[in-house]
Amino acid sequence: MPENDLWEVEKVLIFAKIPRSRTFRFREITREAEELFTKSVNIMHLPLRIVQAYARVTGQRIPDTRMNLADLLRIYPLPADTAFEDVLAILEPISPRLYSVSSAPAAHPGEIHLTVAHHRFQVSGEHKFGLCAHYLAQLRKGQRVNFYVHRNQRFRLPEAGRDVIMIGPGTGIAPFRAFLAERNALGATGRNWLFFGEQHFVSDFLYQTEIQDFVQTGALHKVSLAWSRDTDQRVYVQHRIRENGVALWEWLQSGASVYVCGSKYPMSIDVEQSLLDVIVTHGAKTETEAREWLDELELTDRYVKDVY
Amino acid sequence: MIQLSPSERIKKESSGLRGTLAEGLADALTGSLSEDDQILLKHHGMYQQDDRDRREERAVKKLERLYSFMIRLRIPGGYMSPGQWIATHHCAGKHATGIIKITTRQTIQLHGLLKSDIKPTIRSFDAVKLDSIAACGDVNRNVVCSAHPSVSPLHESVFAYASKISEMALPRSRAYYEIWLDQEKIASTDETDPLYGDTYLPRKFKIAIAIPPDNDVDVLSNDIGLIAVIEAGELAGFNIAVGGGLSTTHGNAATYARLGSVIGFVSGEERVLKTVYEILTIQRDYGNRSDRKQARLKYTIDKMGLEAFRIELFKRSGFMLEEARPWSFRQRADHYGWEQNQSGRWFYTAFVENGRICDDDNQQLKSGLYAIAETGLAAFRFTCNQNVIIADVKAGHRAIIEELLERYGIAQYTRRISPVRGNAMACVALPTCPLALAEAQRYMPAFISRVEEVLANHGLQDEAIVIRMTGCPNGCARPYLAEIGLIGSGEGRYNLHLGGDRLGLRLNRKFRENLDESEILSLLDTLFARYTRENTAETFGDYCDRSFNTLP
Repeated sequence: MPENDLWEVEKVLIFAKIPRSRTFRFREITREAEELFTKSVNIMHLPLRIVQAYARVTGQRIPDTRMNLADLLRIYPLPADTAFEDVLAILEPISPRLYSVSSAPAAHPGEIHLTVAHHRFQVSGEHKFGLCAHYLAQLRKGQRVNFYVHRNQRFRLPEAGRDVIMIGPGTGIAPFRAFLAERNALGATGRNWLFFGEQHFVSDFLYQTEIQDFVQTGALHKVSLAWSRDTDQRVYVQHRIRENGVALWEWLQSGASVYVCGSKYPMSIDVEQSLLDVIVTHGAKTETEAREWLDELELTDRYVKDVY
Repeated sequence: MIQLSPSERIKKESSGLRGTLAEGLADALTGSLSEDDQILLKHHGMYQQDDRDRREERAVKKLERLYSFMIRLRIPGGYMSPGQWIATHHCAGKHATGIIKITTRQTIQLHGLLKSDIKPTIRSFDAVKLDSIAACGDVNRNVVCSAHPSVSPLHESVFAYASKISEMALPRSRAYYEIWLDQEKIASTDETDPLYGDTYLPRKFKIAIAIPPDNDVDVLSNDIGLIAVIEAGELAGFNIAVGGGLSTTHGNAATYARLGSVIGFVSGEERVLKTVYEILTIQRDYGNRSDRKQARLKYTIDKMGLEAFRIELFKRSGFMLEEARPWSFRQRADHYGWEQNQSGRWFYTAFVENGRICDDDNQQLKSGLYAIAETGLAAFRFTCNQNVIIADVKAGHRAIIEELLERYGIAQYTRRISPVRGNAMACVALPTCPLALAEAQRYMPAFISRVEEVLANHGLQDEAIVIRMTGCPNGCARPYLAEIGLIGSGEGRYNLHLGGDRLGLRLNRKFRENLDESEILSLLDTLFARYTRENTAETFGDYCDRSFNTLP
């Protein structure tokens, strides 16, 4: 559960002219304003429906645009006859962010590791960070974090002797770092093949030294890497999948499970297409047969996706 | 049986310097090569390095060290055509840090190549007939030659010896062409190397040719120094000096800097080349292969004795060297600005601080040299003082070049620098050199500015005192031949050496150890005050040498 930036909360309190210790009720929660806006209410990058609701409640004309609550209160101040409670009623709670856990019980007992991209992006000329990523990045050692574990029953390692193909570009590598650590710690005998991709080899090779160690010690049998911005051609994991078609088909034939983690669009779509291509080319199947073959794999939990 | 050093096994088992370089190059998991291959890589003119400033940060990120490669070209006599310069310029921008570094051995090197940049870089150099073969490693390195053509009508014919010696001492292995240029392995080629065998030399080997009165090459710091003897306007031959070498190791009393010993005179191309060749074979056969810190020719000679060495050379070459002819040097510094050679061509020597060619606040040197190369009206020659000569300009074209030198601020900067800055040198050191204990080229410009102030306080601002700094005791910038030598001993700390002469004929001596900047500057302040008070006609180096034991 992320918390809001304290300065952003401060601005909301100032522009709404609310004393920080005034108590409000929001949904089932009753809290002092400062804590409420820090921990419970989403005040960042409000969706259109909330901006429009604010326009209705305050009787103002506001263009269709997303903005932070503080900016909304600053540019379109609360009229004297509108109670702040009415505004609070239209706001939504901070939603939890789901991350794949990148640690393994057998290798990292008592710990939970996350792999979080702290991307900076631009919204109408302003630099912004993702709310939760930025919240996590600002944490200091010893600070407590609210979280819960959401169990994914399907995205599980197969029995120890089975081969595993892991396709996880970007932060999609998270569960596979856990898989590798777990299999390494437990001495699983199945082979492991990791597909990873990012922009630059030099700066973006997540868990590089751990992966090198896994290869060195024989825990990781094959690694296929794709760096999209290192050469004139944009190379992604799906290109590596096609290049390695022969071996990949051989692994699939011998019972390997395939896992995909990372962005849904376009990565998981492109990856799926490349898997189908491999099945067509090396499995001597028609496109329909290949689709059926992959569907069957999915039904038997040998093709599992955790994409977002 | 004496234990051979690990490098000996690696060379021997490398099947002609190939090792597993090709496989290592293809390993996508790492930007590094295996330790054995890194040794072999040197013989192909490259060093693997890493950005030491970023080790900690990257370790936290679970990233391996930021490995990169330095490539050093083999340019005998330091001469490049305008087309070669243009190719180098583009290559530096595309595959390296952008900075072209003139080395203290008259060649250039590029830093910051990733493993994947190596082949494209070597390909672009190959396209303009440049290579990096044997630019590092246990072989004969780049052969250097006095750079200033005005001093001798015979410069061209002496200069030709640099190429001839370099060719003669190239390894026969075709590994370079196979690994980096994807050329087919030619099964029929006999790679038996009569000079190097399969273990090459015990250590690096350096050859320099000096054309008196210039000693810009620091001829006596080389394993072999050839000093041209010109009599009645003709090249009579060369005096041969052997066993020069500067590198030492902190705390290893058995290591020392040594000047070359002149062992005689030889004339005629065949005999000159034969002499050089057989000196190489003596070092190959007698050099220490178990302790790399005792492996240079200087130690081989001191162990054999100079007389025994001379006899061995005679046995191998079949002729006696003649008695050395008289020789003397008048200058070691470069001749900044314009000068003309005997056939009327013009040459402009531009100041390049620590040999780093880039555009900065002082001058747009890199852009300027590129513009000059594009005219096709001038070639380039690098000097062992890490400067560049715009060479071979016809009288009718001088104005064009001059205009470019002014437009890019090059002429203005070369005119403006102080004598002490113009004579200073520093090696690469941090952050890339794995041997560095202290800063050198990154720090030297600011250090010289401080020394300039101290000099000015004593009215010594016009003194061309030679100051050289290295980050470690290996001596790349030849600090042991400076009037003031600073040799890195730890972070921000240097050993101060004093008493070298201005011409490179006398080694300096260690005066103080492990000083920081303020200690160095205050000591120099005291020394300059004394030197001024004595009002002597000597250079600062000569003064320090004479009064070494009474200095404060």
